[in-house]
Amino acid sequence: MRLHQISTVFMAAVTFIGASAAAITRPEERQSYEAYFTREMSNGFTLFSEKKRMLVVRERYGDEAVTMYDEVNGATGLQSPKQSHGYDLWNPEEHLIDYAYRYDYANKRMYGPEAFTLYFNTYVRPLMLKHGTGAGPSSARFSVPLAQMGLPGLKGDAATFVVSKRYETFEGRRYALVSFEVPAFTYLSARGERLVHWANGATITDEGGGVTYYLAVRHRAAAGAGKTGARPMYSEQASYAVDVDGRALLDLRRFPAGKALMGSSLKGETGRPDHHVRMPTDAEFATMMDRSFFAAATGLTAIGLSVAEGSPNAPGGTSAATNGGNQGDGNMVRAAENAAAIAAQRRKIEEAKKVAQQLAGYVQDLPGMSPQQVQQAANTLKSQGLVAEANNLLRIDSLRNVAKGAPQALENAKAAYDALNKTYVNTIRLAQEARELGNSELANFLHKQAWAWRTENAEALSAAANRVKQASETVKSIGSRLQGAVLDLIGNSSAAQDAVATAGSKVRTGSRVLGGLWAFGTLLNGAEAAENLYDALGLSGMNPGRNEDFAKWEARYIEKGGSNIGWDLLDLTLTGASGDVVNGILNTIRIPSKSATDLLFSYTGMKQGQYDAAAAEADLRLIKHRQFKQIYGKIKGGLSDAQDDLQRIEDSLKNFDRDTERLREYSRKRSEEIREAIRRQNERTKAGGQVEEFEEDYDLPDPNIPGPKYPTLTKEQRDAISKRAKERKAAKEGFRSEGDALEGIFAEFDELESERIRKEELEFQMAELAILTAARRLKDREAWERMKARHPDLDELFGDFIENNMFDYGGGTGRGLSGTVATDLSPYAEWLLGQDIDRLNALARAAGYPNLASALNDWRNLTKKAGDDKFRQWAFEMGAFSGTIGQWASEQQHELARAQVLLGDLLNNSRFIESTAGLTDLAISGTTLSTIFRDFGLEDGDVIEITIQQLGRVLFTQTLTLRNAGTAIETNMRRGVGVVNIKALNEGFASPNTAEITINNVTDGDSVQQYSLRTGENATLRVQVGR
Amino acid sequence: MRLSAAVFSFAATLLLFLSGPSRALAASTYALDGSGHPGPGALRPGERFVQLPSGSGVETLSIAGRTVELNGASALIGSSSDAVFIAVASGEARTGGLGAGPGEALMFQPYGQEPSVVDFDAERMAAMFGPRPPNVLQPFVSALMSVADDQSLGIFLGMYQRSLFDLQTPGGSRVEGGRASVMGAPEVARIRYSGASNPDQIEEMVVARAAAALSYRDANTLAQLLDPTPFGGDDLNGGGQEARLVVARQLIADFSGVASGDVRRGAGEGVWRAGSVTMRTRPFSDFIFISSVE
Repeated sequence: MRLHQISTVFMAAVTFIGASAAAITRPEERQSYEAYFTREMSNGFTLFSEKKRMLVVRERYGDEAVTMYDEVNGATGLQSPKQSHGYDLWNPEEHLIDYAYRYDYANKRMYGPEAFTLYFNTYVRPLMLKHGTGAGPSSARFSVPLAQMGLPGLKGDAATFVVSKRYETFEGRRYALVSFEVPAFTYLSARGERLVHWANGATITDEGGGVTYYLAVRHRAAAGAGKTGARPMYSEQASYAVDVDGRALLDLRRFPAGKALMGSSLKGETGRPDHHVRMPTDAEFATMMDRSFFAAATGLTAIGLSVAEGSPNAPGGTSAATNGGNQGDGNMVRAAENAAAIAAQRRKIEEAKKVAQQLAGYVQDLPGMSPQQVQQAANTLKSQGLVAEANNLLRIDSLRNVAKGAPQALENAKAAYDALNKTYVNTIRLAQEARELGNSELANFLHKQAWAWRTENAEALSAAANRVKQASETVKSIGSRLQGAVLDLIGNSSAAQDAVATAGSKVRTGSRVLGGLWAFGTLLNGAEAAENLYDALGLSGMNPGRNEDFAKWEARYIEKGGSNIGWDLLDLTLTGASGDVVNGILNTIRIPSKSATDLLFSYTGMKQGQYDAAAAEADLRLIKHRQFKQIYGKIKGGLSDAQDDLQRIEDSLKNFDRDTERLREYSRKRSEEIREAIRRQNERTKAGGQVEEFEEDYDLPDPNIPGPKYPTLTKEQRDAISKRAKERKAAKEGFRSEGDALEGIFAEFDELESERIRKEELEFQMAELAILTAARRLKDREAWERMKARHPDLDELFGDFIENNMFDYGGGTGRGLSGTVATDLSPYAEWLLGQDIDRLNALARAAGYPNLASALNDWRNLTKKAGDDKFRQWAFEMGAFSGTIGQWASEQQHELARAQVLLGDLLNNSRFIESTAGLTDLAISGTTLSTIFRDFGLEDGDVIEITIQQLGRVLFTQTLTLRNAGTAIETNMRRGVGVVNIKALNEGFASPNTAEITINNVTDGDSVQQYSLRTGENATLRVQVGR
Repeated sequence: MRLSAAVFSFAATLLLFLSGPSRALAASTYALDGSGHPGPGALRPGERFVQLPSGSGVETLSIAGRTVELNGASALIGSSSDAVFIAVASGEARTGGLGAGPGEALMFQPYGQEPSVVDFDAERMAAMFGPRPPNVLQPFVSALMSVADDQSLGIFLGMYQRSLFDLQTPGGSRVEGGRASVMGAPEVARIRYSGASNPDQIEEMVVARAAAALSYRDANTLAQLLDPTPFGGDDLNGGGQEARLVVARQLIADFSGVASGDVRRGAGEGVWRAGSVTMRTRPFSDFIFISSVE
């Protein structure tokens, strides 16, 4: 008998509802739920514990019921772990055993793996038939000799069982309240140790026993009692059923009879081994290995609960699904056929996966491949029958060669333009220098000379500028063609795409068919196929994300804000992981590929070309302006025959003047941005490269110059992806109630992938936080020292509480906690001055920390938990029942979590605030926060929402339109940490939303700070008040 | 406020000893929790009774080896595993030089500690009796409400602050229920409230009592003095108590014939001899128990 299996299956019940024994292919009853299960076992020295979640599905066909257990380990997970508590991550390596048992109501026998059924049929069944409570309320008391319980090797008294079952109605439903008790009895273990053993157990099921809402069993034994070395042993287990949101199916808080029943099985203490911590002697160690008590506990539980309930209190069994035992009908044949079909589709997916990876690999490697290598790759593709793909690869290579010359041509055109324009530029510079030296006469002369030169050379300049523009267009065009070719290669590859989509769809269909069958093993096959599908799609989709160069490109592109491609990448990576797997992932493959070409060919060349072309165009307009002015002068001089020209020119000038101011602002801003971008790019790519200077006064053309035509996702495509994601979510939410297991699998994998990505992001953030915290600690320490110097009475106020926040753990009993905990509160001293320390202390202890310092030291976890919706939900949920059993079941655990959330809230709202979005922490003297918010750039209608908070209270909130002149805001605050939150409500007409904040009375930090936000983004400024 | 009777089902008798004019006492006490009149002085842990003034005389009680005078007092007398208290609603309770008036309680703790006077929350105590207390208790509840009125002003002025501490269930009902199952056992209570404060003396009392129980085949007494650790430690409810009794019976079966009531210290700390039996002791919480009989 395997203890693990037996204890695992004490979870469900079967009904007594009889029905005909004729072959019934559709279940007459079906229940599915998730059971949270915990178990602790102690031999008096060492504590063993486990906690797991198990999916339970039960179906009844006439006289037979099948109950299946899945330990939700990723193989057939119907609920994402993160849905439960948020901190439990998926472990794909863990593949535990799943169980399925069949129970025959007619002969009251179980079928399935012998690990349990043999024991039930041999030992429990006869007792159940003799003493069983039957369908109605009942109670019984009977004794069973150890030999009749199948416990060879144990010698001692007979065990007495007191069992009972009754029914209670709660909120319109009837529940069966079942309990058993085994008063203390004595036996000698297999190794001759005397044990006094006693036990209690209780369970609440629905009237028919289909769902086990709660179950708690506790066995205890005094080993060697009355002798030297006596110790307590125990084995306790508990479970409760939850819905899809992790909430208990039955709320015991409102069901007093149920709560009392479960509480009754948990009275007393177990004498946990932490009361007896010491290394066992050799003899004791040998005794530890004696499993007599645990075996007895298992047997007693099976008898107690089964007899009390009148059913196995374990699933009905069929070994068919898990070990190929007795099947008995055609379902297994059909299941096998479907499994074979799915296996074939899986092979196709494997092929498609390889092709997709191969093609994606080529695209990434292409820049470094020689023509021979490209040809070799094409030949390989052809040999695989992928002729279209081979041709597309060659096409890309050919375009790549063309593209190679394009940036150079652009450079040449620019150089030619610059060379031509050099005379003008130099003359203008001389004119500026002359003006700066106060020689305006010379300056004017040089200006005239310069403009005269430009007028004479207007045609040549125009031609050169046009060449720059053309070269730029060529770069863009080549880039675009390359993108198209890459799309053709991967996105349109039928081998990579169609096969995946088709095979994936077939797997899905097949899996649904299997879901309708009762053969659980085949269900697993289906799930495995789905997992492979996920691998096929997900892996190839994520490869670009793992590529370091790609990641750099992506980051760089986002940083530059050059286009939406970077965001497209992130967006699609996430969409692919959270929405429709097939299309989402394929999109993810496409976009990185084309973005790579974008970045190769468009970034430097296109940006520079765009700027140069714009600059040249602006030049031309200025030249024309000058020409018009000259003509205008002539006309004014009396050339009446040019009246028509005059009117035309005047109109033109009017238009020009109207646009001038706006163009000038735009030009200044754009030129700054572009110059900065180019400067950074040059710094990175050219060691010691010189940044080229441009004239400030240049006007740029109309701001609505069309940008490069990237074939990014259209709105329709985005909407389609979003729709699919919503459909997937809806399907997932629906499957629980309908019990359709396979329907949720795909959504499950999507979420897991999303979780993985989130985890990586979190790890990154944590690393950043670690650095910031180290810096802050240093700062805090310095601040504390300064503070001590300023406040000699500090010691009197706090004594050594701050610097030596020691604790008394164990109440002087000598059972102190060993290990090291934080005892230094000085990093938090300033903050603590503004806090209710008693409350903090109490919260820290209630949250499970030995002292306040260690709680604050763990502030990251606390604030994270407080911000985790699932954890909050769990914390404020009911405990399953009172008592100390288990790690999650007791009210105390929920109280602990509640304290952690409350403490986390407090920390989130006060000290543990980080300045963000470019703002940096500062400190002010006094308690009046005096600030001025102003738009330091173009007054373009930026609107922000300002919220000032302290200690969880909102002190000030206002919506403000930013002006150049600035708006002053004063807020009275308390000593301690305050936070200024700024939310951008728009970006004005010149994106982004920018502002400058001036803070008065700053004693530490920058008194003038700036931020830059997109619509909807937030900036946080942490202010230490009263330092 | 009512503690489950089951919590104390294994804690036996006599935590508090009352003496004095039994006539007056019987006529002037009212037991709560349906446990009946406390009889000539027996009070289990968690049980309470109201002492009402009878006539004009001074009544006396004996608590934890001390004489208490009740001078026209109406009071709630109760116990927990770690204290016995007399909460006065009217009149006065006095022991030695210590007196408790309305709103005050005399508190007695084990091991011969000096009694003390503490304030109690009269309003909360009055609430314990519900909106319609029995007629016989009306004067007592009225007196409590009068005290509560006075205290409310004190609370308003900040002189008093309400606390969660409950004289009857210090540490909460769950903790008290568990502790009573160990420390509220009659034999343990008898020794703890005997007035003895010397640890050696207490240890000897425990060993002597256990040895006598072993000799005289008194399983109940022996069980109460056995180390609770293997049976659940802090809380023996839920079957631990019976398991301890099973072990006591086994020990009696094994050793009663060779044990003697005369005890003497053996070699080593906590080692005692009782006839040819070796007994060992082990501290648990603030008491000391028998850990082995061999």
